[in-house]
Amino acid sequence: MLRRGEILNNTYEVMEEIGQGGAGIVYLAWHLRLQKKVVIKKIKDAFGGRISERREADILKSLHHKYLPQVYDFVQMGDSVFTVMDYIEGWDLLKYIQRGQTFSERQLLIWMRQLTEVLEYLHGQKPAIVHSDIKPSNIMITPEGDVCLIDFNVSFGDGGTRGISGYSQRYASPEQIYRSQVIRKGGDPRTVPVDRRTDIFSLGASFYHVMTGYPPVMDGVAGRPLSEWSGLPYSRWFLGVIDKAMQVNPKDRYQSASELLGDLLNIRKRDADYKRVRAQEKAVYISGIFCILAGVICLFLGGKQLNREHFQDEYQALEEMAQTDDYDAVVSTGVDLLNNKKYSGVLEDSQEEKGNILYMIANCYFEQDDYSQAVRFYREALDCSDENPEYYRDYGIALARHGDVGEAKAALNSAIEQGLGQSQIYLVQAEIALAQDNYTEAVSFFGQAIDGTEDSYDKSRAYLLCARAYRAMGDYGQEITLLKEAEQQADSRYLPSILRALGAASTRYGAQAGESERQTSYQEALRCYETLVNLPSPSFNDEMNLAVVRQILGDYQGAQAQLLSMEQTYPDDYRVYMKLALLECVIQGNLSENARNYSQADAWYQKAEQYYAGVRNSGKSDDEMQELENVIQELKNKGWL
Amino acid sequence: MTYGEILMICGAGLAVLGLLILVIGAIVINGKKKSLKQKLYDKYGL
Repeated sequence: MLRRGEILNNTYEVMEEIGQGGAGIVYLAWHLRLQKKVVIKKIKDAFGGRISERREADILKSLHHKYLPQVYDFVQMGDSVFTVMDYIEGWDLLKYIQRGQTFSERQLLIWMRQLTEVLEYLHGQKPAIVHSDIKPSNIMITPEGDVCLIDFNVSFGDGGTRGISGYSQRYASPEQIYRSQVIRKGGDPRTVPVDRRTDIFSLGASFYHVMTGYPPVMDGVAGRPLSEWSGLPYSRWFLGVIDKAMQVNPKDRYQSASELLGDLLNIRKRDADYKRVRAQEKAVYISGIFCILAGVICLFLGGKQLNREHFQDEYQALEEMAQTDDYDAVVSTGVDLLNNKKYSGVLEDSQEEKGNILYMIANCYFEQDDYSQAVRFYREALDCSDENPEYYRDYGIALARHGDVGEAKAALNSAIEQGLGQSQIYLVQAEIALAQDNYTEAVSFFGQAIDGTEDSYDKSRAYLLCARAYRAMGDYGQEITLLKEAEQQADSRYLPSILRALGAASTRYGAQAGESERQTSYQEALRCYETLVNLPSPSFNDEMNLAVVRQILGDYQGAQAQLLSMEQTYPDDYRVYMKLALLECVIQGNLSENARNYSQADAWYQKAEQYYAGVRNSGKSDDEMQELENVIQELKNKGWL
Repeated sequence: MTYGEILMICGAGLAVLGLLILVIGAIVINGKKKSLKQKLYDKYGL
């Protein structure tokens, strides 16, 4: 026993005895260095041997928590060992219970949370520290309103290997009580493991007492679960938490302080206001994300649709261009459209349109007599759309023109299988006959093709192919006669093609005809091109051919007027200036030497050169341009320029 | 106006609307959460 004024370890001056517990006598002392009150607790002699293990003392001294008293020291004096720790002002919970004081659920929740945090801290140490003696008298309430868990007398280690048999019966867990009985009977305590869940039980039991005013065990009889009580001013949820903490089977309790703490914090989630805000939060995020997703999908689909629309615009423009005779432009535009990466997806989905583009390109090569390229593109068109009889028809005709008679016949058979009309069959048969130099048979088939159809397009096409056959046979007169007949019967949509063919045929015929027929032929050509130029959308070639024929007929003024009109429409086309320069040279050459002035010709030549540079750089060349250059050079040599 | 353009405009509008909902919604909800936190503490001490 310590006396008042006695100094322990030269540090602690005993002030008074303030209590006596099961494990030791408690003194109030003064820490001479820290100048604060401390509690000195004597551990009974029976524990001395065990406590002398410095490691356990160091563990307790190393504990620092807001809701634990700080252990400062372990002092051994003779056979007695004393612990020195913070003195905690205030009352313990038992005093409040004994005074009949009740507390709100809010206050109890705060304390329970604090105690659970302490347990979480203690159980989380290595090795885990189990208090083993949690009860209302060991729960101090400080003047600040916080808890402080005191009395670590029986709180060493974990796993239930200790031989301690002391416990507080009212608040001890069933396994703790049973283990104690085993020890008393001399049994092995290791057969009854006691772990951190015992603290959870004791905590629940302590709060049971606070909330009901009755201890959980009275006279050896356990009280009813809180959920079976009526009239308690606490939520059913909170009562359920205490009941769960006090389950007889440790497996049915909270398995850890963390789990209990989690459940305590979950009470917020049951609150109506909390649920409302959470619902609003969910609604905001769901609607926001939904709008963004919908927006992205619309943008994606819109992009695809827009791409398709742009493709359709370009496709339609190509179809209109294909009605003219600007074959190079159609080929170049068609190839660009096919190779445009932007439209690769659209083309994949629209094999028919892809086939049509290839077909238009093939037709252009066909019209330019490049049958090798025409065959290639017709074949590619068939790869895209192999059920189109017209593709097979034109493929067969191109093959025949290319000299592949066998393949042309195979193509014709395929066309027949796909349902090609009889007049169309005659066309192909005519071309095959022509390829085999069987002219009589070819003309007969062409005639049957022309007579066998009422379709304007088919009829016009048959006329054009037949006219070509006559040209191949060298019968230009018959070619022109046939084309004139075609002109009479042609639909306005196909009249331009007939007029172009007739104009070209008349020009060719005039070039090799005798004097008497030359004028007639060129006049016929003039009529054709004048008609073409007066149609809504004449092509560049139509206008240029008109200027050329006028020049051939000696109408230099008319030719020049036509070319000057073209300069307005095609200001960047070198061919216009080239023709103007050549015409001007002819005009000046017809004047007397004194009246000649080639400066305008030179000016047009310069312009032609300027716009021709781009064509030259692309690797192409124009023989007429070369001729003009020679003329200009000669004029320079002769001093005219 | 073509269908493609309409879809693109709708898509852009929806995406912007979604972003606005998220941004403004987050600001409003954060404000509500702050006051809720205090309310819950006053109610439950947690």
